[in-house]
Amino acid sequence: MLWQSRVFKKAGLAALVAAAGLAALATSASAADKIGVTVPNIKGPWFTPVLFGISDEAKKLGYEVTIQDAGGYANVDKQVSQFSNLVVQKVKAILIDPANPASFNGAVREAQAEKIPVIGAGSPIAASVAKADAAASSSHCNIGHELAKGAKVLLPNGGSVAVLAGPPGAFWASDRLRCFKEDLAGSNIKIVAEQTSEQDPAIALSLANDLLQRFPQVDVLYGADDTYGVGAARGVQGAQKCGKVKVLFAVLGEAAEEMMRAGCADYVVAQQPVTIGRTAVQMADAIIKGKPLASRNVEVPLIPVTKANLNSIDKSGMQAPKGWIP
Amino acid sequence: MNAPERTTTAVRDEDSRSKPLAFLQRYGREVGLPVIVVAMMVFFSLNSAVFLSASNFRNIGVSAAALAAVSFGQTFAILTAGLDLSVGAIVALVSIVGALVMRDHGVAAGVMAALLTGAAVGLVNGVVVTRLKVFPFIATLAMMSIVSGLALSLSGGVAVTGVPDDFSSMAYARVSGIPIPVLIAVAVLAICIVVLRFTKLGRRIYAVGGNEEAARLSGISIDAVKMAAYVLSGFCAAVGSLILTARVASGQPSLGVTLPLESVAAVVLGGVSLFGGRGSVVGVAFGVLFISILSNGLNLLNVPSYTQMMVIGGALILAVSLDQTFIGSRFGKRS
Amino acid sequence: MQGSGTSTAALSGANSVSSAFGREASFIALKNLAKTYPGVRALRDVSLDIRRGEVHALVGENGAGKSTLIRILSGDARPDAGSIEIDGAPVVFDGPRDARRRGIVTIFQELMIAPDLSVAENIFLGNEPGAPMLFSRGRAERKAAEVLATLGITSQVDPSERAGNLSTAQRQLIEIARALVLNAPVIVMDEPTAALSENEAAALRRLIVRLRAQGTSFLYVSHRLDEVMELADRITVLRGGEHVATMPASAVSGTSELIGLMVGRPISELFPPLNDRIGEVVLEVSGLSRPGVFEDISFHVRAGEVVGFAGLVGAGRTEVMRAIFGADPIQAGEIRRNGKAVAIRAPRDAIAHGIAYLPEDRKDQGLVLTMSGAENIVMASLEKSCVAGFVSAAKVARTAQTISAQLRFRGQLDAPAGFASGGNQQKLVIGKSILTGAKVLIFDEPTRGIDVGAKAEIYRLIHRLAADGAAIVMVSSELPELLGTCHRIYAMSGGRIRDELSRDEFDEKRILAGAFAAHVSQPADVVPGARP
Repeated sequence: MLWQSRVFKKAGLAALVAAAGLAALATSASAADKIGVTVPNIKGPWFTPVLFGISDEAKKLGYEVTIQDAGGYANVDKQVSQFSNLVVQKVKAILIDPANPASFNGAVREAQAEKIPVIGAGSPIAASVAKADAAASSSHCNIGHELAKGAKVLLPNGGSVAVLAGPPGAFWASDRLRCFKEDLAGSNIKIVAEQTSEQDPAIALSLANDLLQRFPQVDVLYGADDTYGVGAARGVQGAQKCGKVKVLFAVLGEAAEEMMRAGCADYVVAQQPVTIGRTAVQMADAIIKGKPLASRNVEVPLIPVTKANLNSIDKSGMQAPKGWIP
Repeated sequence: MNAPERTTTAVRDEDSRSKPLAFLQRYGREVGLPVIVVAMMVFFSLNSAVFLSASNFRNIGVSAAALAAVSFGQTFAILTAGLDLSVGAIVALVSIVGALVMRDHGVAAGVMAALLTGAAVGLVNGVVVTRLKVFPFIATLAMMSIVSGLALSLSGGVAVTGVPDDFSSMAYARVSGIPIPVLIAVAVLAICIVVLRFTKLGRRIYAVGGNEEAARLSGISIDAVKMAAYVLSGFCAAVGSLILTARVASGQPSLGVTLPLESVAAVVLGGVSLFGGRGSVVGVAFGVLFISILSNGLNLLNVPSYTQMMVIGGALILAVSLDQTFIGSRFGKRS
Repeated sequence: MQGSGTSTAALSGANSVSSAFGREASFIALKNLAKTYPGVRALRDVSLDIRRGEVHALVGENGAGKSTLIRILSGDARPDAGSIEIDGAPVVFDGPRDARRRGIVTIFQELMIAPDLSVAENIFLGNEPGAPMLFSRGRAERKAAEVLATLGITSQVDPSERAGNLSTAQRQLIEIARALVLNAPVIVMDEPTAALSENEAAALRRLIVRLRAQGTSFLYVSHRLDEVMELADRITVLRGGEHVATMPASAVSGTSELIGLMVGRPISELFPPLNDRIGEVVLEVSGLSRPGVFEDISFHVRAGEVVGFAGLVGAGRTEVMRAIFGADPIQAGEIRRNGKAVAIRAPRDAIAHGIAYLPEDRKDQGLVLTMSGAENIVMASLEKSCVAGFVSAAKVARTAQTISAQLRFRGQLDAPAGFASGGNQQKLVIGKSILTGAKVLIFDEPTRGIDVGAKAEIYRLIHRLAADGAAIVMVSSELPELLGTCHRIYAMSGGRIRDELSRDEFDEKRILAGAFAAHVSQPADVVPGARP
């Protein structure tokens, strides 16, 4: 009948197109061992260098890397799902930066039941209870301490700080802030405002503007990491208060460097995300090959950076090559 | 003057001759989607070594379970020619409330509180739609914002941890190899089938969606039926939320953001008409499977998630337009 | 009659007690009812009573207040003044459910069917059998089958089939079935036979007579005056919201007396004389077929001619016309316009060739009820109301005004079309067709649901259009209408044209024979799939 042939032609054509499209997208089965990586975000001055470190090191050691992007700290359930997917794919190891450690206990246990090692990359833990097999990170609390030191350097006579606290519920950000506040307790540096926001440069900028408006006399803007710090710096730049309002944050990415050269970022506690990434892969490699690990928990050192030492420090551990995209 | 017997025979012949045609027209949509799902599975299993493994199916099942529960609830609302856009927000609120109560008063109390919260929001939705006479699209859109805000303020914007292990281990536990979330989703499906096919409320839901005026003039309380539909939608969203909360072992204020869109997509794919009064919840189950298997398969093939969004959107359009051809072939009218 | 289902209160004892209360006592009494809607005084001091076991007919032009009265009786509206008494006790209805519970079931003209539910479910809508909360499908289907048997349509309708698949006539019978299962002592019927064929209408009348004998009362609202005269015990005439007269049917001399009471003045002639200026053949259809629906349809129409299509409901006339108009596909056959073969694949092609189709169901298919009358008129020819590519509201208003004056449209052109009466709505559809410049107009049941006064106007309009050179095709189930307006009549049955009669051959029996042909001829002759 007329309609039958119309329908089946349509269906057949559709199936053909779909099959062709999907075939084009599918990767061919490869012989190399695979390492799975799951992170809340892949873009940004923190995650990009970490992923570069991972990818580069993995290439050197002969592993294939598959990176899963949860699309935001809010998408915890997606990250858990992606983690489970990696387990199903029987990767040789999973590198993880959990958006919320409490959510991964079951998943990590599942992976370990399948004999897949789980390694924290940029995070000292993989889950709140289930233990990771190894982890490479910088202690967030230490970062908080360094940031406190920086605050004291910038405000020798005390002053006020407005805080861009990071993503809501992200333990790395809250740990930093906690240790920052601990060190400043009893000093003459006061925190006048504190607000979380999603890890996005535009949102950070908007938040910074907001804080500058509400507290025109504030002395220092604190950013939980590079995204927030650069947002704060741009805000200060836009308000033409560079140098008057100081900007303090962690992680020195490209944009952060620019801001520092422009005089709008004053003190950055630089981590070495590339080194962290490389270390995580090295540890994974060791576990996969059954080699002993010197330490299960590696803390990659921090480097405080100001305009003074900006040009002299070694940045290879901090930033990915210009233009590299995960 | 009665028509002689001969005519009756002629009429019956016509019926049996067009039976395969009529069968396809009536069930085409219901047969078409399962066939497509099977075809998809064949495709993925040919392209990925791990697709057909038990652990992958368990994964699909767990990630589909929450969407399934929410979609079944959404079906009630859509059958009455309405819509529930607040399901995602309900999931978030229930997650927070459930986690908070569980942390302080134990799992049983937490689960009760969760289900009651879902039903309560559903009731509010129902009241706004029936008493305040706001269009369901707008009413539930506004409620989405209100309930989301409530979830965020109750939780302070951060996750609520301290969910007892007994509860969160449910997401990974299995009964004869089948993950518990899947069993829960199947149970919800069974209950929905019973309600829709075998209870007066269920038939009245179809009636209200099919011809509201006819239902009203037959003495059916339209308001009561619609309210029941939204309460059921809220309740099912609460079940879905419990599954997701167990999976992430914490109350998350932003859980379920994609659920309104995905649940409506699953319902439409499943053959339920957005104009109300038509469709089966079994079809919705296949709609959920379609979406879950598609995204799982694309994940296994390492298709980047942004491309996945495009593929899923394209597949939705394709599936619905194929369906239109089936329905559209019912041309002409009797006179 | 068997049937059970929710018994409607103590009053349902009526089934066996027609004598106990005596024929003279009022059962339902409406006293001094008044109802005003914004801008319209729908009912003004109307009193009416219904006795047990009587068929009480209600007639009147559209706008006389019949629908308002029905709505009040059905519990859908409350009167502004006046009261309703059941067996002498005043009652106030709380809503449709309450009215039903007290024993008054209303069957509306707009079909209240939920298309995706089964026939049985529709029959038991709101009244579903089964344990509390549960729905017993088996019981519903069994009882539905019983009722369908009573109505005589078991062979055509299956209780489990989807109600949306039924024809208009069958849906109406389902509504009647709905009232029957409720055992209602009072059934209000609004234009029950409007969409039924003669055969079905006769069956319905017989059923009503049977039920009346068992004590059921009917309030029967109809435009079919001859039917009313045959069936009713008493007739009430309303005019302009007021009660004009109530009298026993036996006391009425004829339909013209009723018409006179309805319009307040005697109506001399319903049908104008036929147009005599006939021109060339402007539409010729040959060998049109769509398997399973109609086969080998060939006919022609000349300019100035009115050609009628008679037949039973289901003969396929509407399908043929829709196919010619391009709304449905054709499998084989040719259409010639002014001698040239044309390909019509969609309504826009037909309109471009000057063909217009005025559908059977004008509210659902001919008008956008939410748009104004003016907008409806210009809808099919919007280019004519444009200035520099934009629709000009002024032009729309002017165009609509001109057309409506020609057609004597009585109503507000800027009010939504849904508010206009049936006759005026039909004029809007005619206006829309004329404006497209159509010279071939196909009318499908042009005066369905239109009161007598407006009918006469429509016939005059048709006559004028023909006199102006248009070719008219008229599909109608009202034989008198065809006999009164047409130059020629084709009789269709079972998807085929059986007979063609010219005016001097007009004979009711012969036309009916043609309409029934599919019922009595050899099976091989019946087009497979066509419903008789």
